[in-house]
Amino acid sequence: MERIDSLVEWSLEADTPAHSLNPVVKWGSTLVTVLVAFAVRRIEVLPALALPYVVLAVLSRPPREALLVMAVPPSVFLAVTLAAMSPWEYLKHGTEGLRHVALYSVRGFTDLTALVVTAVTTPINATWETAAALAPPGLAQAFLVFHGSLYGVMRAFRGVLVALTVRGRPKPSLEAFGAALATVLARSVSSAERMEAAIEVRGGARPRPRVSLRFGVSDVVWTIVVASSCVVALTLGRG
Amino acid sequence: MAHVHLPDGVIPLKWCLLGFATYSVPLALGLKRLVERPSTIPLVGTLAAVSFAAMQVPVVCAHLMLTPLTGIVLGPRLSAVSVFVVDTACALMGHGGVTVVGINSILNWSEAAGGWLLYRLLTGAGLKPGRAALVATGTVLSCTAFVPPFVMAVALNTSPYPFLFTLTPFWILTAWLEALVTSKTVGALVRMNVEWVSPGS
Repeated sequence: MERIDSLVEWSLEADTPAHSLNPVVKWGSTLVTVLVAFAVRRIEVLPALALPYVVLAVLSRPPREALLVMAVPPSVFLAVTLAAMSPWEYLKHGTEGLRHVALYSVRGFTDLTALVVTAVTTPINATWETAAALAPPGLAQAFLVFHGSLYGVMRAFRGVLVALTVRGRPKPSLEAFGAALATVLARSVSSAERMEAAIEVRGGARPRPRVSLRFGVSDVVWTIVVASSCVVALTLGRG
Repeated sequence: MAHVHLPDGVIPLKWCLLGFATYSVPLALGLKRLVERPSTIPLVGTLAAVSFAAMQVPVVCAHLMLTPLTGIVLGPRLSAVSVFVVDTACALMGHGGVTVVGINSILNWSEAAGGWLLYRLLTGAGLKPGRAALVATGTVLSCTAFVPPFVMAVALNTSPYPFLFTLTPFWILTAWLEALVTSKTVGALVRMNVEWVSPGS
């Protein structure tokens, strides 16, 4: 649970230039970066795409723990996958096969940098509000109920596990885990029903969201910076 | 449970787009059902939240995902929405890339739909809900643990064996752990007299 805890804690309290960017601009530019990376074939050019995000991370100074907790599990999976691929690729294609693995590796870490920095420097509430604003009716309500239930579910989950194990074994058993899940689920559904009723009364099922998106000068600057890095990477790296 | 945790940029874009295009069918059917029956929205959102919370508990080198439980409770159409919400949330946290959400949703939805189908068959044959959930979850997740290596092999134009020998054993181990947890959860829900998991619901 540390991943979501540290993300929520950091995202809610931070007050930096990175957090003031519009989430649509930030997530949109991250998606563009990810898509442009597919077209870049030269390994040495790919880090240019990650450069704006590294600068953003340095300026906004997210806690090192939050970055590590977010970045380490996918990095380990990527490293294990590529390490498993390498011998086979070398036997099949020689050094060209290893070059492919290296390209996947650098591209994967470049995109991961962009994604993790965006996630850590965007308030989680803003991310889900944006997702709900852009999604069609039905999915938008499901997004809102998910987001609204998540913290309650996690708190309840921890609480029930503690209550079940405090007089029993030092570690929760599978029986306790299952009972905790069932209790949390049953309790959370009734609270989500009230939340959904509130969303519906306020017009949650309408085709268009109430919130209008506002963009500032910093959003324009960030768009220009990311667009520049993409143009540079595309110009130099398609070879 | 078994899904492609790879970040963006590794699976080629054409495969990612194909994943989104394919998943748009079950997702559209699920959203249609959700709009027809708005009373199910709280259950869909809550199951996604519970599933996401359970994912944050590491189990050896893997994690639970509760996709068969989602399928058993929601059925095949609504579980498509719940799975999409969870996979989107994961992608927004760097757990699997944003471009891989389509492929991951197909894999996870197949677990939910398969779990639902087998659970219905087994409870229909007279097995108790807890045991039916154990067998259905374990069987479906053990089978789907073999799928991601082939998906990655086809997408990356390489052999599936390196992934089959490294990743699949962990996923099968976790599959039976998830089966036990799902079994206990379904058993507890039945004892609590919750109507969502009764065979006829």
